Amino acid sequence: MPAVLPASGKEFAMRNVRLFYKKLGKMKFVSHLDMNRFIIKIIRMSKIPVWYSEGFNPHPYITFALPLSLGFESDYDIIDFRLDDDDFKNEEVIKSLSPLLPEGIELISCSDPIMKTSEIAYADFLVDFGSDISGLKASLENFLAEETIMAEKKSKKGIKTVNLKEYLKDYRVGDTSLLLTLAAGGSNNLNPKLLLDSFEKNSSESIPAYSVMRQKLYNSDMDLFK
Amino acid sequence: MDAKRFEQLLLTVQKPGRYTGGELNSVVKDKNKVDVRFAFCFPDTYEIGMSHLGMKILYSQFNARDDIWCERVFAPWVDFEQVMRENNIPIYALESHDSIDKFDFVGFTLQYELSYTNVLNMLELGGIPLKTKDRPDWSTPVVVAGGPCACNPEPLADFIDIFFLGEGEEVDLEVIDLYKECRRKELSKSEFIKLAAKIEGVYVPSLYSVSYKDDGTIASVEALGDAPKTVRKRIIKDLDNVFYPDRFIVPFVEIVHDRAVEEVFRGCIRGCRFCQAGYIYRPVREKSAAVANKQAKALCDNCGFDEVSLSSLSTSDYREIESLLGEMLTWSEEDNVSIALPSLRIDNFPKELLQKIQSVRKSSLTFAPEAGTQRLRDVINKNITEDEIISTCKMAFESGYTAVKLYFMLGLPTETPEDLEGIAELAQKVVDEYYSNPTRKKGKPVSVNISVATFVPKPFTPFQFEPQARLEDIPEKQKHLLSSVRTKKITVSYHQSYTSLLEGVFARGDRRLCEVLMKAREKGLRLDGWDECFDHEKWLEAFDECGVDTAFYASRKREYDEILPWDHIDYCVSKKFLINENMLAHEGITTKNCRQECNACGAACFGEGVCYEKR
Repeated sequence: MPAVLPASGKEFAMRNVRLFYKKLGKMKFVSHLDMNRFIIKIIRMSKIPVWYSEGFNPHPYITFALPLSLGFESDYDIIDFRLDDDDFKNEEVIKSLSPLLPEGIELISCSDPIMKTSEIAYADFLVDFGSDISGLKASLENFLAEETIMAEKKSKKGIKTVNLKEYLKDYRVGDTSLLLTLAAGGSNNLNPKLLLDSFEKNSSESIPAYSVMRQKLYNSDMDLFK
Repeated sequence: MDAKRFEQLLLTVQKPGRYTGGELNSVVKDKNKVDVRFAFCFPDTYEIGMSHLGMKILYSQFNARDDIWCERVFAPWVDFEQVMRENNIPIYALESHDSIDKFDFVGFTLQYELSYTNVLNMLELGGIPLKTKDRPDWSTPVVVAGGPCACNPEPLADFIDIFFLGEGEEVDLEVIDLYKECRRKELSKSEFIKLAAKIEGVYVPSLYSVSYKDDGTIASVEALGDAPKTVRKRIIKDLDNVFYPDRFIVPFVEIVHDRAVEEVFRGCIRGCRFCQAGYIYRPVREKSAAVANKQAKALCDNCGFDEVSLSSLSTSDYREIESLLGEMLTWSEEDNVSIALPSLRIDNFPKELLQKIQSVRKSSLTFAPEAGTQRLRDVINKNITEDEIISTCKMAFESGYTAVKLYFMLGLPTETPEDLEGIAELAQKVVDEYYSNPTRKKGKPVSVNISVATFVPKPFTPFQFEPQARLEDIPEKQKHLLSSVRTKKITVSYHQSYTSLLEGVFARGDRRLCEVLMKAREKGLRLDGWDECFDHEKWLEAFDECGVDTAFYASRKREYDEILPWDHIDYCVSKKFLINENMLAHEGITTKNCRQECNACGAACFGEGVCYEKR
């Protein structure tokens, strides 16, 4: 049932939409906060009927499902926002935004949210070395298979020594890359860089330069986040 | 360098998004399909440069032509500069990532004197020889510069091939066209530069020879060959029809002013005697409200801005301000765009209109009385009275403001201790006004912030003859002002005084300072406008080693008949007028503004603008 806002007197309907996109290439140098500001501009430019927050400084209300670290790419990044026009279709969102995006942001789809962002529990990270790492393979596998991997981890509450192994759901060491499934989301999470730094600290070997692509997101049952 | 290694390095520096390019509305062309590549260099960091309107205008205007590709270059922050030097990464343009030595033109905009070392540093990082004489042929780019500081180009005379004087929209393209023609005819670089000197608004410093008297002042400035004896600046006569961008580059990282900017007029009618901008941009020429409205809307539509600023030197002097705001309000509210009016005098502004445009976050009100007493305000021709300030504060307090910022200058000509006490007294009156308002919010104290800058005399102002206050006298003045403040509701903040001295030296400097800049560069100085980079000791050394006395440039009074380093540069404000204004200043007599009365400054020579309005 449409609500009526006393301030505007306008009939008021809104629905949430979820936008899936890739953040690639140069866009990896755009931080989370900058990305937030930038996407708001793009949405304003597109003139899609986005819902504006009420108050002194109205702005489109957008939420990132899971903030992405500076320097990482993602082929499954997600933004939620609200539309205040029920008749505006998801396909129209894609059509309106596509022509405005810079190189490095590619829309995948727009759909009605199915899960809550708070359900996100794991994420896949593809660590790409761009060169053969077969020499490292055995020691990496041994390291990841250990029962405890103790390391200092920064959290909002300060630096704590934790067992990284508790955050490591799964892994696969390839010839040129490493796939890690790590805890992700608000309460528990692990940055793959911390895991690799900790490997370097604990072994005599050093890791060649690598790039990181965050891939699929999952809930606690390892169902794809939708 | 391979891309992966480069990306790795980028991730080691702060805000790498400043160095990648690829922003929305940035222009990428095929370099094989353009005739002229222009590296537009802003000699400061990305966040500062990307906020600059002049660069946005010229970038879009150049790129609107198929035969030109204009790209952006900014000074790297210290961390990235170190990475660049350690890894032999030359400074590059953001669009193509090509090193700037590959370009036809390398152009700098000179917005403030403290950026001069950045100009040299950027040339050096591009592997371009710093001095014109070491760039004799086409193997190196043509190095050009423009912007307000080009009105006294002499401290950079050894480094810049061609200066553009005044507004660039026309003259820049005329020089680029001449360049194309010269390359086609296979003329030499020096032939091209000599031909360029014949274009109005083009100053080629290498075509002038300067001789000095024993006392260090200039004996004569000779134009060599057939170079013009004086070079006149250029202006755009018709602001309605000159190019204005319909989109700005939308940066990823946060910049200083992230909003649409609509320029409503150029020049200023006021004639404040300390203000260089008030003289070098004369005469006042306005854009019509219809055009300004259309351009502002296009910028907001195309760039997603939530704020548009109406820009000029004194926006309340825009004659069509009410009709422009009326037109803009028809779309801005619906689009959630707020309108910013910097430097607006709100005392005689319709209240309903003000309420509509006022951003809801009303926190602070800003005034620039510049001087503490009416006597000194008359000397500097700052036509704002104490009554106006107090009555505006009254209005503002009644509508809920609780903070006032007041800007002043220290070391103005004829300043006495009473003038400094006057600053504190004025601030006190503002405080008293707040507490005399019966409707004020109880328990909410007022805060009055006094910000004091050191006055720096600038070329082409009536104060170009005046000595700058000596560095050693400044702390005494600051102390006197502080001791006159009697309440904690008034806070006082200062500007660093040594940077003011440096600014003053280069503002009124001559070509002998080129060696000081070279020396400063050798010592690694750059980013002098940033407190964390400014190195006082090294600057002292640089002056010392070059045998240059800063007092000669900064704190020396010039006689009216002295040949000043910029006397052969013509900004259409006559020396005779400036001398007369200087004398009036010393008598404490004000001069009426351009709309009230013509004072025959010389700007009427362009046949346009306020000089021809009906009075």
